[in-house]
Amino acid sequence: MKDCIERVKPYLQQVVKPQRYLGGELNEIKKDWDSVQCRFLFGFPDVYDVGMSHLGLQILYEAVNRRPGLLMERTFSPWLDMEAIMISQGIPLYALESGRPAGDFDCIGFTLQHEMSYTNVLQMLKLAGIPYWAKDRSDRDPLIIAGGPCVANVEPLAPFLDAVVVGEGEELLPELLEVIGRHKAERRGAVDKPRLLEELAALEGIYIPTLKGPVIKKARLKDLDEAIFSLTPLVPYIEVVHDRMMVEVLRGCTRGCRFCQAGMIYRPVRERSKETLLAQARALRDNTGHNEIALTSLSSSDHTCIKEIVEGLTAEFNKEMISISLPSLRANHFSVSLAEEIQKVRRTGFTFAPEAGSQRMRDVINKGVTEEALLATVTKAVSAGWQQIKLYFMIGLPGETMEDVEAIAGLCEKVVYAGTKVMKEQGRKGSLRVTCAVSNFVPKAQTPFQWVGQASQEELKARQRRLKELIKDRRITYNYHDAFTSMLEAIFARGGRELAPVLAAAVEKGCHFDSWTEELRRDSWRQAFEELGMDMEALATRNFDLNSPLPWDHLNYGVSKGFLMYEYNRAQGEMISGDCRYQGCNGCGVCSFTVGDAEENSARGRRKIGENILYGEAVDQ
Amino acid sequence: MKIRICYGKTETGSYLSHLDLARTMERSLRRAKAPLAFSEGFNPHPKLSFASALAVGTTGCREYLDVDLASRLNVKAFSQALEKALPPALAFVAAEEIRENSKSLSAIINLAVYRVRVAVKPEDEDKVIPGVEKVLAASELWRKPKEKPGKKTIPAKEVRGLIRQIAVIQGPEAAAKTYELEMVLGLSTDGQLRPQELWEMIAAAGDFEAAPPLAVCRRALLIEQGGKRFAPMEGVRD
Repeated sequence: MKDCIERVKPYLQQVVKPQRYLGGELNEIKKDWDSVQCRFLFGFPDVYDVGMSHLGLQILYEAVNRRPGLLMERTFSPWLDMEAIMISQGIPLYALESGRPAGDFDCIGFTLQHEMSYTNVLQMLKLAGIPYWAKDRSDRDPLIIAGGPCVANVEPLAPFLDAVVVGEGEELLPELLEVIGRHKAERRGAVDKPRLLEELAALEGIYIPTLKGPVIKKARLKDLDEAIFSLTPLVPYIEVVHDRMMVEVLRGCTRGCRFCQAGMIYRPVRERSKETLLAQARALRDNTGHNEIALTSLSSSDHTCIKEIVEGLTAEFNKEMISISLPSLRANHFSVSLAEEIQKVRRTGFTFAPEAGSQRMRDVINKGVTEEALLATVTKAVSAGWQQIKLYFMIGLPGETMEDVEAIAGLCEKVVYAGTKVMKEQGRKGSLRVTCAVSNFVPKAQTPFQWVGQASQEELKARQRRLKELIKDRRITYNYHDAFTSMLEAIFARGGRELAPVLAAAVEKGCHFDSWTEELRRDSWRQAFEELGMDMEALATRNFDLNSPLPWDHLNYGVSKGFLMYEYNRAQGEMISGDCRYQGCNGCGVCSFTVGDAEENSARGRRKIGENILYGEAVDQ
Repeated sequence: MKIRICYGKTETGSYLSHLDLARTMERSLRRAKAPLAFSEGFNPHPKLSFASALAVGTTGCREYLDVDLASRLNVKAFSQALEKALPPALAFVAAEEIRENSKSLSAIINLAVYRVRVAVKPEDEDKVIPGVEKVLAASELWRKPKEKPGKKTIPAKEVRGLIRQIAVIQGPEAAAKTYELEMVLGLSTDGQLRPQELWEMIAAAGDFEAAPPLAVCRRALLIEQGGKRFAPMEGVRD
């Protein structure tokens, strides 16, 4: 039977959240299989509820399906209960729209959001009955491709992939699929894979792991305002991680935090205009019925017209009881005013990311936030009524000492005291609650810290323990990340193709859903590395020589290696670098990336500075 | 203004939990531009009150929901808008204005009509009707206590009074050996009997093995009053 949805139905009473496996949501697109030239299956290597919160999926669903010759359907990792049923009943991985087996599609594309999802990619191919090594696949198997932020260093997965989308996919992916469709049409439905891969390699932004060639320049949108955006996104029935409408207010960030991969690979900064955003928000409200809208980006309060956008949205949406959320706010007064404006419907906690406890360390990572600014922001937020603050930190940063770690506890205490003082003054009961969330630094490709090894497991655990000893205040909740998971992330974030056999071995030992802590099979991972003669700790902690080639040198995200080195050196000198939107150009190279853009970007830059002066506070340096 | 909506839950919808249903309905009402009234407080939510929840896996032909509105609307235009706005999991049946002081659906609905499709082994084919007859002839029937790990055990309960009618509508079909049973079951705040449980009782009485039903559909929710039965929408016009 072709329709796998019919085949899983008898077992739905035995699994949690059966709706994950049925599709049929509002705004689902079901296209006629035979009316298109290329059928694409988007694979999200995690469960439905995680994948359906991903904005990229919604954008690509629109970008591909709006083309008459193409079709896109969705598939997610089945959770372990359903996976066991599918294996025992011989039901392959299938698409939610048509119920067809994944193997029926011309192309399957996986999004690589984080390293811990890699095993799920392989596991999904296994469930589909498709060989995961690219060399083992025939011309009749679907073409397996990938995209997303982890492509910044895709080498550990390269031997499993036929083609890789480098950079922004909403224009490039449909183009790639059109090439596949034409290729098949010319050959009456057949595929000549070596020829097809050569044809794909001609597209800018497509990396073919089996072809040696010049450096691949990332694909990028020139104008976010005119970019494809889905105004009729899929609306899940079950609760998903982020159950809300999303508008993307801007893309890219030039704050220049030295650990941040997104801040490097999504440059330059491109804004969507207020008019477009408001029109999109209205359409989303009418087409989804969600009661919350999120203004997403790497740093939404950096939009030059954010105040007007927020005012425009609140004026229309507050009376309809639609709340507005602004993730990733910077610690400044302006953020508190924005938050006050938007949280009239439902009030949530306030979250900031100082990332490091000491000023010295914040200078090393170029996080342009001072303790004074943070405390002033907290004071303002608490006087505006908030009583919960969440602070994000990292430990194991390059050059970090135990004193720097201890400063995290100190800063949290200062925040508690400052906030509680305000509450007392206002005659409010209780005290400020602070959550101190500490993650472990993972060096990432295409960042100024790409050459630096991760702190050893022993060091990370010692620093975690030290914080636990120091944070005794009951008003502070301390939580921290699993050091083993961070080590795996570090290994894959900077590893080469030699890691592919490790991934395969781990999957064969049952590893997948590694980001679900209770499913992480530490012993199987250790065995997989040992059997291949690799030392996990050594891989994670190794420093790369500044002059030696890196596994990702052949991918060009626009930010030059020279700039990354320059920033690395400045980090060692504890020197901060300004944001080029408000201060001088740092020469990252992205503006001269495409001929003709430099002038346009500098013109945009001037306009932005002008608008920022209008609101004064937007510049928080 | 208060409005009563009658809707169906399709096969896709049968796997929605009650919370999923509430969320899906709120979004549909928003898309239909219903002027929802909201509760006061920290986390305002619309005032929706549903009739008794359906078990996961059960479809429903005529389910009910009352909604508080902040302003008046044209019921006909709203009905058309809601019909368009409902996702594939739900189907629009009807909408009517109700009095502000109407009693809640859960207070008035006291009967549920189910259709249950079941399969039996060929050798048990002749045991279904005697099983039904024995259940109907019994003066009392006890439901076994329900034990769930980590949860409080639900004690055994006498449920004969909840069984109003059982009719064999169809079957057995020659090839598939399936029966279709119609069950009319009492609903009260005190307790209810699930059609699956009644099927197990019929099997026990008929001395055969009960396989889980192939499909269960709640065909109607009714109000029984003075020996007469009404649909919740019929009471609206008095």
